Amino acid sequence: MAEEYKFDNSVELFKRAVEVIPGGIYGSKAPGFVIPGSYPYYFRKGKGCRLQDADGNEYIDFLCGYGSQILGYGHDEVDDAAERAMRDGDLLNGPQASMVELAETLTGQIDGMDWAVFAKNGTDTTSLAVSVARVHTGKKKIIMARGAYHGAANWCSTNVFPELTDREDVLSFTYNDTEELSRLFSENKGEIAAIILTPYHHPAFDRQIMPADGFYSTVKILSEAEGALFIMDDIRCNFRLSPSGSHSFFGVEPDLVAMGKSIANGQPISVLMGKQTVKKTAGSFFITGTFWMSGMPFSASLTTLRIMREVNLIDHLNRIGSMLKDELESLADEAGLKAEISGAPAIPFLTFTDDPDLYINQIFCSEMTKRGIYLHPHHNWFISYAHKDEDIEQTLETAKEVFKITASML
Amino acid sequence: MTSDELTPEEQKVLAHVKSGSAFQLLQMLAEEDPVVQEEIRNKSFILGLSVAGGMKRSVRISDSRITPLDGSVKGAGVIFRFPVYNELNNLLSGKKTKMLPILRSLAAGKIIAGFKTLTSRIPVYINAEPDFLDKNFRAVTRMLICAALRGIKEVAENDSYTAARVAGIPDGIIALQVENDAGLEARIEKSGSSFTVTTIADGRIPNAVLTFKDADTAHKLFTGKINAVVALGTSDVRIRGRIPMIQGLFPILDRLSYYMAIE
Ligand SMILES: Cc1ncc(COP(=O)(O)O)c(C=O)c1O
Repeated sequence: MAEEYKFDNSVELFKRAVEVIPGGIYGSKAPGFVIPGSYPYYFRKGKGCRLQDADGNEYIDFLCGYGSQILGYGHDEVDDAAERAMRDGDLLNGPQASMVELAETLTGQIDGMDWAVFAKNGTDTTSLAVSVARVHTGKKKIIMARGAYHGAANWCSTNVFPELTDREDVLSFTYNDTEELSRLFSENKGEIAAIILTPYHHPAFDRQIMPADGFYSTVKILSEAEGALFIMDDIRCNFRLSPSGSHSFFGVEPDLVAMGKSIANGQPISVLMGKQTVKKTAGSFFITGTFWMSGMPFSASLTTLRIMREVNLIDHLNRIGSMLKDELESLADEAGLKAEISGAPAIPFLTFTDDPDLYINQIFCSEMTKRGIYLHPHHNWFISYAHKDEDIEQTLETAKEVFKITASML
Repeated sequence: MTSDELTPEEQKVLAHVKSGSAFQLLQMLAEEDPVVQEEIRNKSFILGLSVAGGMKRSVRISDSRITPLDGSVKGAGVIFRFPVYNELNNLLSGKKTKMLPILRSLAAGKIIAGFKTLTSRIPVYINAEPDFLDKNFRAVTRMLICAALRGIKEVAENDSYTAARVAGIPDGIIALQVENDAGLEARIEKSGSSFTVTTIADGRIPNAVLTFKDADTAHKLFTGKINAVVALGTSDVRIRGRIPMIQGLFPILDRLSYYMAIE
């Protein structure tokens, strides 16, 4: 049996960080989101689906930079494209041709979307979408699913302080509960600017939930009757369900689509896309940022999109993801544990039946991670194009042992 | 900052925090402290606190136990009645106070004297001298943990600043444990908008567990000698189970330390 990993460098760096950075590491990368003692906090490098942490421990990684590394870390072709842009000066006085090319590529590729506005992070685009919807409809209220993550902005995050009023006009409903949703629409008639949804529900600390039959048709009926926009937050699922946008996978027609994460295989860029009907409103906003015109992400994105098309990415992700799902579930069963992988094959998350508080999850994922298979205990996982059969086989070999260890610890 | 500088609502929260923690500590002193045990032997009385138009709470001394009672001063031999919350704060921080003692028992004088003796034991533990601390380390630590949980309960139930965040905490039980010391456990349970503190494990499986590496870590944390964020990162404090419940306590703890710093 391989020796368990130690994380001394991570801990030392964290101690230094706390002195000079509030909280040491913030947000979803904070130690408290994993299991301190069983996970690294700092990393050195990655290549393909392999990752090395600050202590030199190596992992087969199933988080992919929180989804962004869809072709794998350090993808040569993508990095070459970014590097060429970097050598050309990268950040000039205005955009480069690649910005126009990327908008043309995306409007050609993403179903029903006629324009694109680029920013840096997903949060930029979900927040812009909400603002655009408000101005476009002349209304204020936004409906979202309880537990959904749409970014770190105050209108949707856990930054709830009395001084911040951003959340006041944001209403929540239980995902898939069409009765509650209908009630929200009727109680707030004439006031709702938009409903924002992820393609399917992937809350942290919970199993993932697919849209129930009839859910999306109810959303369409209610939002159309209200004159509210339908915003699809495709930032996490981005290109892991369909090359034409996850809304296309579910056969729905949002007014606005926010994308980010995987669009440039880790280079910082996000995009808000929309229908022709909303273009004028989007054009009336003053939006920019010093770094928004940086050429590297545009070049990286054009290359990433091309490679994704060429390699038939979705088929690969589905095959690898299904292999992982089926085998993990049956290995758990062999060890006397009841495990379920929820979500799309390319975005799996494992939970154990009768473990609502995730105690078993935490043991299993920690023990896997300490043995070189990075599995997040509280956040869905991601498959990339760099995950090959042999990586899954190695993962399953370790899982076989760790399911037994987990069962013995209960 | 003194309590006079607080808003009336903050003065109310402070009074709840101070009186709640004090009563919680009295309950534990009855379990831990020989002086208190001697003082309450064969005694039976109730002492109440009430604020005009507001809080009512009392402690019952009987059968060698001290039991805090929320929301009632029923059967109290003595009630300290305050016109406003801040006068209660003044009493609890040893300042001059305006209050009306309502004496309902012939033994009122003795009740007041007995109560003073009991409360005088709190600082002996909470601000323990090094020698005393050495000998009573486990008891002091246990009391600090429980007083903090009681403070969290009072803030969570009364403070409007954190109300929206409290509402977001899932219902359930959080257990605070010390590794390899099963006896040193306390719990806080959230059910809707109310919180309950228990000073022992009660057999139910908690929804989330916070484990201190040892009693020393717990003691240092609750006396402000180590930073909770660092302790979590170094895994001197470990968390398991429904983590958002524990994360939900942090803003309340921050708010509690704001109140604890008020003189
Ligand atoms: C569904 C969803 N929306 C929005 C965001 C925010 O994106 P970013 O972190 O790039 O701001 C995320 C990030 O995890 C996400 O998963």
